[in-house]
Amino acid sequence: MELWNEAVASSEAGEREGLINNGHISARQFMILVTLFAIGDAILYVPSLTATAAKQDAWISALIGWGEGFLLTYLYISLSMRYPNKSIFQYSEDILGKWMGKVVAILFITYFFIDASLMLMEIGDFVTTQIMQETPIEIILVLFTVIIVMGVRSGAEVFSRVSELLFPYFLLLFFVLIVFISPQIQIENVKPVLAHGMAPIFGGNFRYMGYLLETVILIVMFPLVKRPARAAKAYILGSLFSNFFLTMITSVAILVLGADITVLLAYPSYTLAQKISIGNFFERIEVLMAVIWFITLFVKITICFYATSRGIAYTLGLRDYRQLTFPLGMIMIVVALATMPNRPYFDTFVSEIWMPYSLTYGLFLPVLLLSVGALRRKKTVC
Amino acid sequence: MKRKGVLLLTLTLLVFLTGCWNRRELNDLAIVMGTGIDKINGEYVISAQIVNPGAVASTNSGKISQSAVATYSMRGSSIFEGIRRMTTETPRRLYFSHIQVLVLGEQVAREGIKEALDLLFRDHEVRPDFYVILAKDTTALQILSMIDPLEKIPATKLYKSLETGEKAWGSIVSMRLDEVIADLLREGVEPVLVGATLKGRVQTGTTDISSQKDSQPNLLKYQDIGVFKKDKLLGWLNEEESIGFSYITDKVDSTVEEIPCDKKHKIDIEIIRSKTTVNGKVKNGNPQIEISVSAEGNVGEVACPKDLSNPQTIYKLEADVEKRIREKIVSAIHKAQKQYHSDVFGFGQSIYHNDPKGWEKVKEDWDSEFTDLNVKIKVDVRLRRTGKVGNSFIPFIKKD
Repeated sequence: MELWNEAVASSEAGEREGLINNGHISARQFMILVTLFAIGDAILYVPSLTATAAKQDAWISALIGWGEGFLLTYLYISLSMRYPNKSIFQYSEDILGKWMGKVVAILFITYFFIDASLMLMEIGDFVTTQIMQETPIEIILVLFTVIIVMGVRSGAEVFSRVSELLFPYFLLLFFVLIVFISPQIQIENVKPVLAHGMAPIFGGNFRYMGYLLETVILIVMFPLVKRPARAAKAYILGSLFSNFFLTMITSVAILVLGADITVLLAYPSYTLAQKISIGNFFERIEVLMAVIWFITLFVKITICFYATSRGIAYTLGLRDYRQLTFPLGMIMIVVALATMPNRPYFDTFVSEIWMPYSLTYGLFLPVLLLSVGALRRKKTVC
Repeated sequence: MKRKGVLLLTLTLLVFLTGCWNRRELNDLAIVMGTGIDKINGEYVISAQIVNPGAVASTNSGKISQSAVATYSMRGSSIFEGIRRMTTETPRRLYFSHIQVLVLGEQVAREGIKEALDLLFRDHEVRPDFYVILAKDTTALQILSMIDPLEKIPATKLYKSLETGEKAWGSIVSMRLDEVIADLLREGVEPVLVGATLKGRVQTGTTDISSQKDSQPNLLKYQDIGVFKKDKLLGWLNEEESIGFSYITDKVDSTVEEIPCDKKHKIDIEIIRSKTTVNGKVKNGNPQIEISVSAEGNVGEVACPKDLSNPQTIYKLEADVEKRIREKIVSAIHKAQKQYHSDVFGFGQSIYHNDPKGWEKVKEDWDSEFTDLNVKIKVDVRLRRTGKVGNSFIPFIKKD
């Protein structure tokens, strides 16, 4: 009887937010979403960001990230498992009360939205820097936003399936990149190991962690998986997979280009692809390789955008989040253009501000929710 | 009904949405194969070698056809300015994605190459996979203008003979743009670039008619390696020193060593593979370098009466080849140490790799440390085979 009541309660909450028609995603799909999400834009920036501080030891910075990624994911899981089948917007109200809960939810929503806009800007910057310099960035932003809005309007079930379909292509392209660049690996480039102690390595890791903290956004997708225990496993596995890919690309960038060049480059992964040349015949395939981050960025922005619109819909008590997608998409383009006036501004933002900013949402707020929730439960028991 | 409308709209849109925003069709592109940068009176002179696709593909042999390339040059106070101003001469906009070589004039190299390299490293159109070479005793434009009968495009000739020469002879080192820049950035190593120079009369080599003849009175060839200090060219290593340089930096794939066996005659040994390891460390505040070369070779050409069927002869030859290689290495090191004071071999880098703490102590004063550096050289050569025959037939030629 109690179980029944709970189910009714949760479905009522779902009704209020328009959850019902969203369907469910499988644990496997969730794992792929986590993997592609966490690789996201990190695949473009992580090599040079970590190498800026850690130089040739950048790969160790990434390696430490495995542990951090695991711990952070564990935190998000503990939070999600405590309130199964409820979204973060719901249980933050349960924990902190209606008004404080709403404030926290709104904070999270701004974080999701800023992240989405930033990444939209990144894809625009990538295309206009490396491929089509004379194309106005607005065109690329609009085209990409159209796809994302389409994906989000189709619902979580649909874009999760799309990610599942894109995943093999991602794997194929990634391994083509790694395998065909590997003849140019020079082991000398990582020497000497640990020459300057651990301090620079943690400096590199600091920036790497900024990307790991973003995986908090996946907390929104967590309740869509029917069985929380399986979702938890998928969350952890996805986080480990993504760390594997990121460590791989960082190591290969250092091994092939050397730390000094990697630091200078705006998009080291793309330069790696440019350097592929097998027998002066299989070469100039970099644009094909760029599909790797078109896939990961699509998944990441879509999830951020989905989380934003779901959050706003819940906070405002709308029945359906879909009506928000068009205006939000337009706002996202404007925010993307307005927040990043130029590339050096963006570089400073990412290397110095992003990590502390992410720390608020990726570590501080989840810990707050978890501990206050635990204290409250004790109180009610007593 | 609604579906049909959407379908119709999609099909109509397809007509308008074919193609990119800033598309550049093939017939609007001037594909640059090679670029040259010279400096004359303080101004850069940029040359661009543009391929003429029609002439490259033409099969009407025998007839004098169109020239396969056109080489333009333009002055400018910066590289970028020169390239853009070149559009006043060229009918099409230059397209740099396919450049194969960048030739730097000797004057540019002496004054410093850093300004010349930035644009090509920064511009999105340029891939960093082309080779950088120097024009020795001549201008980059001149080097780019020499036509070879085997390769219709001079830039391709430069590219291919660089790769072949590096593999089969060893006095050439190929450096790609990102490698040059990496050497400029890393501590404990200075860059080198190979020089190309002209031999014979220059005038006839630039005309297309010369490619109709089968023997070449005037050609361009790679000769000597240019030694840099930071981004400035100091001087050259000659052929022997260049091969020594290749041995030290483990760039020798295959080469030939000559061993004199009496006053007039000699034996040639073909080195078929070679591996060098450089070990650097700091001991009691003194940097030490150990080079060990292990090479494998065959007897390639014999022009003197030596009993090659005797294993002792082979051991003697091995010792002689080791001595030759050691001489080359020593001469290269000597020149870099005493004349140029420039650590082109990356000895400092090797110390940094193996002994980072020790490197901190010596790096401040590395130039003078390098000059007085004590280098231990160990060469180990194994001769395996003597070719299709054992002893040479020369001593057995009938006497009359």
